[in-house]
Amino acid sequence: MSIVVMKFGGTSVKTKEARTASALRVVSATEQGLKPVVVVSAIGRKGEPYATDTLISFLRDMEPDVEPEPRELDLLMGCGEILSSVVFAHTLKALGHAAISLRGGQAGIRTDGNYGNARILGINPLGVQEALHRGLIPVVCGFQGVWIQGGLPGAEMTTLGRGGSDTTAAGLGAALQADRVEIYTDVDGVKTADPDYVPGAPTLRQVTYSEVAEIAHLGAHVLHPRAAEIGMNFGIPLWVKNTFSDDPGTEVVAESQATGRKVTGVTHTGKLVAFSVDVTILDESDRASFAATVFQILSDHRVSLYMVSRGPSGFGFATRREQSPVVRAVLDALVIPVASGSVAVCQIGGSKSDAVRTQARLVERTGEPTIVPFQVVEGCTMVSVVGRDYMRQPGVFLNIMGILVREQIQVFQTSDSESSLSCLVPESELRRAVAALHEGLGLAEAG
Amino acid sequence: MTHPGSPSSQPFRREHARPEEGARAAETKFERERGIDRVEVRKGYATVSVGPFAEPLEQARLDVLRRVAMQQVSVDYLKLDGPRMSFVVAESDLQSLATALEGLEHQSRSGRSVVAIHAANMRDEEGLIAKTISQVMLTGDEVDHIGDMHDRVIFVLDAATADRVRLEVGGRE
Repeated sequence: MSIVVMKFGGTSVKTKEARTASALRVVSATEQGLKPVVVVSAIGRKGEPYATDTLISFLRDMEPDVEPEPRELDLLMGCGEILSSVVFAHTLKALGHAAISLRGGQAGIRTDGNYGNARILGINPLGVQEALHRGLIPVVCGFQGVWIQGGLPGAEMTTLGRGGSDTTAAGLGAALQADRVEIYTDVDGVKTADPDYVPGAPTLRQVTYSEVAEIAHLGAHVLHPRAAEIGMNFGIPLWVKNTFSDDPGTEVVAESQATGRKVTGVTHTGKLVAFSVDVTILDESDRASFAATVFQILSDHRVSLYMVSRGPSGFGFATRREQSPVVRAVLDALVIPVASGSVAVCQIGGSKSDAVRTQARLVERTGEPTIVPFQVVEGCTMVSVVGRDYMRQPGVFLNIMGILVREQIQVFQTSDSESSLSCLVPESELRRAVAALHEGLGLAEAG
Repeated sequence: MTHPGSPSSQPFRREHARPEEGARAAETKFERERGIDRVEVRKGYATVSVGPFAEPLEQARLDVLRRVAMQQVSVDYLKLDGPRMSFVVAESDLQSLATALEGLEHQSRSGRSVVAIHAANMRDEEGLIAKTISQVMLTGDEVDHIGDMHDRVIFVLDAATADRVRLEVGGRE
């Protein structure tokens, strides 16, 4: 029995027409002699009536000053996928195919007790297998699991966090030893660049698990890294396909199966704010502890960092724009005792805020404080080139920086790893930067 | 096909049977524990700082990169640092690098290591990258470079400190 796990995202189940198109893909799989196992996300995206964010807003708006309990939020969010799975099973029934909707727990997905971001501990897919055995098409709620607490009756519903439905699909694929897992969305597969920025950007026919995870890490969300990791660990072939077209899509494969290609694509993050600080103002012996304290504070406030840099004169980092107020609030006027016995007071921007002046006055009695200003660059974004073999070759930086300099695009900072090279550029130049790199690296002929 | 009770060659896969064989499914173990799970140290690198440059900086930087590329030297972890730039090369390339940078003001520090601290899905674990950096900074040694990937944070630092980082930051190796 060849099992195929077919996951349909929010846009693929959003309307009756979309659900029918998705369901017909499932019917087609059965006609090819496959046993489809369907995984669905909640219906629609933010702002639409049954989307996960809409359900959360429903609760939060009721009592804006009261933070909902994570357990209650998980129960509420799980409703989106339950509704979606029931509707999808009903759509299949209307097309003449018997189907059964299953919650994550009924599909055997067991997690830890971390509400809102649960980790899958194990999957026993007996419920799914029984459904298949009875000739039913299982329609599993993505994003959900259950936490089985020792000594307590029943099981607690948990949700898997970002990319949860992709993770459900990959996990079920592994547990069922499926022939493949197909992730259906509204684009043809993994593109060499965002088609909004590079119209006609080709669809890659093959990427590696690691490449697709890195692309997601750097801003493009085609397949979640957790799903890629499961696919890689269990050797499950993953496909990214378009519900609404017959394009063959992108196959995600192991490194050993990948065919030669130097550059995978150009990707970009959303809006970033860059912070940098010159620490030469501090004694040399104080610089490491100062930096360690700043990063610890950022960690305590769950700030997600991009483009961290460290040089002889200081360090820098970027954050998503929505996290920038948190960074400003926690760092401005922050007093950091340093190893030499004096104190440093952090200042955000070029001038002292009232809080910085007040703190400096308060700590004066312990000695003259050192004001350490952080420079802030608003309106940045990160454009990245992802490539499997390319980054190890001499001349990569020259090539990429050369393209951007020729286009007179300012580069604030760079960051690279074994499989990517990123440049922090003005947000206003993003479109030109993506297009120039795509063109300059010959990606129009990729695919 | 893997049968219940048979050994499995894949580390994550638990044996189980498909339903037509009449066997009940067993549980398959899944995602890695969150947080740091491995620290990897690679030795034999040098940090190079070039500059200060005169304006225009962009052309001066490109000139350095062109010279280095012409000597077939692979550059990693490039950082722009005001009128200077720094990067990391393999120690074995230092001779070629000296040829490439002849006539330019530069310093190199050999005996550096690349330390990769691995953790699954780092971007979604908010605060984890910052926490890892803070932990490494607290080892007290000067860190030349910091970078990140989807599953690791990368540091370039003194080779002697690298082993201490491995011990202190640890993980579940």
